[in-house]
Amino acid sequence: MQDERSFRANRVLDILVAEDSPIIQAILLRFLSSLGHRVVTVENGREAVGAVGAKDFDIVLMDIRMPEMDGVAATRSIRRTPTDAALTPIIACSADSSREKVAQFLEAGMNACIDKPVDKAALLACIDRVLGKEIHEMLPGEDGEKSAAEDGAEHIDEDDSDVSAFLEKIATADGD
Amino acid sequence: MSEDELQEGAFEVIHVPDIISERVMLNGPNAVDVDALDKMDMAFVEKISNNYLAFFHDDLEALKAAFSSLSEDRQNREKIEHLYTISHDIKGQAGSFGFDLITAIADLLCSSIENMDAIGDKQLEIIGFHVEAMRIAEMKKMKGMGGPAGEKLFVGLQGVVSKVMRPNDPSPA
Repeated sequence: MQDERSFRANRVLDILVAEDSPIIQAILLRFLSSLGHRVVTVENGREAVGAVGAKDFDIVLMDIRMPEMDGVAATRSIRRTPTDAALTPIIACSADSSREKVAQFLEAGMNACIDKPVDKAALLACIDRVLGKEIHEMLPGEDGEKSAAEDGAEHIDEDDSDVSAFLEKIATADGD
Repeated sequence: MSEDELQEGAFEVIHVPDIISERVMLNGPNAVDVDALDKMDMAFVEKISNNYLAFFHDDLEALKAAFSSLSEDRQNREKIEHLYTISHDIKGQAGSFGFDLITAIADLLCSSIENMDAIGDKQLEIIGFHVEAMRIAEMKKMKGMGGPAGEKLFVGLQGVVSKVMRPNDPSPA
């Protein structure tokens, strides 16, 4: 979720983020708000169901593993709502996006799935694809490129004695 | 749904059922206060973004505690699940702040213990190696994949996981 200055949105979206991790909530809120979107965050599936029923959202970003009610159950519940809220597009945000899991998410009524850690460009492209509109565009400006280069830089420590000691230690493990 | 559609996360037409078995709670004690939900501590957001490793440290301590607890009760499915959940959260978070190696280690741990009902001596040792590898990545502040040292660490860990946790898998390249 880096390089925030290199994207912009041509329309403001109302986005619900259902995510129990305050850290993931925070990075999604920070990123999406920086694009001008209005973001509401909730901590579990039950709150997500309530929020979708109480307010119109353009899209929901739904975590899967949440307390009280998980993302799959929440999606099923939203799809059974007797109003237009049932049609709210839902994107699964999951650290487990195996083929089997994705099939489960889509079967529950989710529209798409995006991997965690969330890649910013992939997230925006996914939102545009699900909404069927080109809302976001990348701005390959100087600031953005600099930010990406700084944030993505690998830390290289010349002293790798800890790593060497670790490798020696694990070399003694065997499967017998 | 075809495999291609699954892979691309294609848009799916949703058929809303006629029978309503579950209603959204708009009023009453469990109703959601949307206005209240709309508020968020932006200072917290900035703090996390600027210093993720401090938050990771707490997760790592939680992982160590879960590992310690599991080591004393290796057939407890709930304890395995707890350790999995912490690792799953780390996997989803670290890479968002550029700590790809930590995410990769957490991913390896998740896939190693997923669906396990009990942990043997060797498996426990390997889980401990994951915790140790994360500790080194934290101590060295390894961003990205941690450069050559990080790559060596991860390849070494992958190798021992293949050998011990998943002996039937082909060796990593």
